[in-house]
Amino acid sequence: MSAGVAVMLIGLFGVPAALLWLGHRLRRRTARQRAIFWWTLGGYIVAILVATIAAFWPPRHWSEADLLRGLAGFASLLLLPLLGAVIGAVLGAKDKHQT
Amino acid sequence: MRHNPPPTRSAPRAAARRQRLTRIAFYLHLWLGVIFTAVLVVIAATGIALNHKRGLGLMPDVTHAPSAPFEHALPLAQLAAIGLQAGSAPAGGEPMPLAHVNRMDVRPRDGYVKVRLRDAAVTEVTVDLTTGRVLHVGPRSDTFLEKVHSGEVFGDHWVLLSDAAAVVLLITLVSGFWLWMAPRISGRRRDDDAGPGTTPTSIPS
Repeated sequence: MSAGVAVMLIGLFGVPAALLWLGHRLRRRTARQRAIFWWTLGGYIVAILVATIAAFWPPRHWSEADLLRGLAGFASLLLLPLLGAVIGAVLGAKDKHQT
Repeated sequence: MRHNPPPTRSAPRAAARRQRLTRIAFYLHLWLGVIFTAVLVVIAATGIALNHKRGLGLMPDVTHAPSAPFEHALPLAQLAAIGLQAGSAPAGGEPMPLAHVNRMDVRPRDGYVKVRLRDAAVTEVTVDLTTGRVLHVGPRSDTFLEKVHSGEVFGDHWVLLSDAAAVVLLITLVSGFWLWMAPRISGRRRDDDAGPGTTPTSIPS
């Protein structure tokens, strides 16, 4: 199994499992955790769209030279939710200071 | 007048069992549905694209009538060589070896043969059976989409991923149906116990 496929599998199954865990009793969690949850979820939804389009457009087998397509198709399912989590953590921390 | 059967001792046990089943169905529906969302989105999107592969121009659609009787068709080896030559010409190189022919699809009624090559784009060359004229050269995009759809694009064993997605879809269908049906069963039982004039209550938690 290549590193790209391993990253894709983590993004494909690990991220939603983590979201389910984080989403359990969400209202009882801190503002920062809630922000992380929502931003990660947003990142994951965007990543599903990006990965789906990258998977079959153009409809030909990707090569190692297709760096952008590889990133979009394989790594986006992990990278975009992670980016969302970072944004959520920063914004959630700001909200906490304001209130 | 409606006759109400007296409540039995097994009724609370059945209700508890039903409630436990509803709880299991709820978590199966939730967890499996969320975890397999991305896989099912890709399978659904590629499935729709495959259903409309002609309309979307994903496969070459050559209209051609036979130029001579099938008995006058060129030998398969010659047709394969023509296909290889035409398929490798756009790349600007030497014709590929015969091993690069994936398959040849002979259509006597249309008077042509489709020579499919083993390359990243799955190039298909349509060649006239009797004259050897190249009618069309283009990628066979639906083959790649089929591989994405089945999971084969990552390797032979990856069809198990689409199998798993299909099983998950069945489980979410059955659990969703149960979650819709369970409160109605409970409501009807309570109606039977309480007599006429009562209304079904909410989903058991």
